[in-house]
Amino acid sequence: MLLQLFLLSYFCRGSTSDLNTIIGALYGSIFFVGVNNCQTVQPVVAVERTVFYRERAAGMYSALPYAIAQVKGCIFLNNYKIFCILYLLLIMLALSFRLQVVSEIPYVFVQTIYFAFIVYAMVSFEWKVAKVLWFFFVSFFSFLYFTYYGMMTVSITPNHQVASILGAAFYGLFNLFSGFFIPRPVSTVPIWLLCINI
Amino acid sequence: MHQYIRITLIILTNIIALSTLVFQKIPKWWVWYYWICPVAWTVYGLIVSQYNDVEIDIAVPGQNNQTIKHYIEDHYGFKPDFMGPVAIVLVAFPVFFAFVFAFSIKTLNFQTR
Repeated sequence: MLLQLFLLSYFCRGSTSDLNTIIGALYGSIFFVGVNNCQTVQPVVAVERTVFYRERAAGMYSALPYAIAQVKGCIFLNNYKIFCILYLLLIMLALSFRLQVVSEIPYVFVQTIYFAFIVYAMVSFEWKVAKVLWFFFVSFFSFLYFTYYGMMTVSITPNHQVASILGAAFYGLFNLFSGFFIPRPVSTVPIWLLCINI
Repeated sequence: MHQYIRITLIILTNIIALSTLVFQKIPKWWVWYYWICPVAWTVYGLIVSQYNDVEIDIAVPGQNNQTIKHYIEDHYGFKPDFMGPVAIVLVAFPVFFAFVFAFSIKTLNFQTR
């Protein structure tokens, strides 16, 4: 579906409208996939939180961090600071996410691989290794923060209906203030000059 | 019920959108939101990483022909050497959201019975 939506974006670079079409198609597709990630992760996380509550009530959840702490304690005993930081991070991860945050990464990674190759081939970018990797980097972290944003909205609201309201409230603002539809004021150019140029 | 609230919020943001479109640029008193908007950093990163060294001339309506690099800097205000901070912020946003998620899962309790 994404392919069909943005197939039209194959243009060469001739004028500003070509440029804006390419940027717009890219921006639109990343935003679309990101919002999709955000919306679809919400019900899943809401259900998993219920399971988490049950396991916490049953006192089951402390086994994993205890085990990790044991193992890591042996390895990092001679390097105290790194041990402390890693220990805290792992406790945070294991204790309160139940490794949920980490488990999102492979999904997003695979999604980015196919997204990046389909889209990059279509928008007449240059085939340089650095540029492909930058594109991959930017889209990977964009999808990741959209997913985590969805999880965050669930975690601060009572259920996933309210979470989707909170999420949707910010999609509009994200879209508006992304600097694509309405560019940020450029301080070096006087505003009145820009107004005349329209 | 929640669909209606959602639609109302989307309409509200559309009204803000229309009022800002009149100005053509983000108004000064809203620029702070630009800098905390994660999608803005995505757009910045995308455009700068792809076009920071492209010297092809393009036709700009109402102005002389410019290179793509110059147009990006002039129209969008994206500086070509700002890619490092953009990369750091792009990594920081997921970490921040994940941290808030972990923290509020741990502290807030919405358990119902």
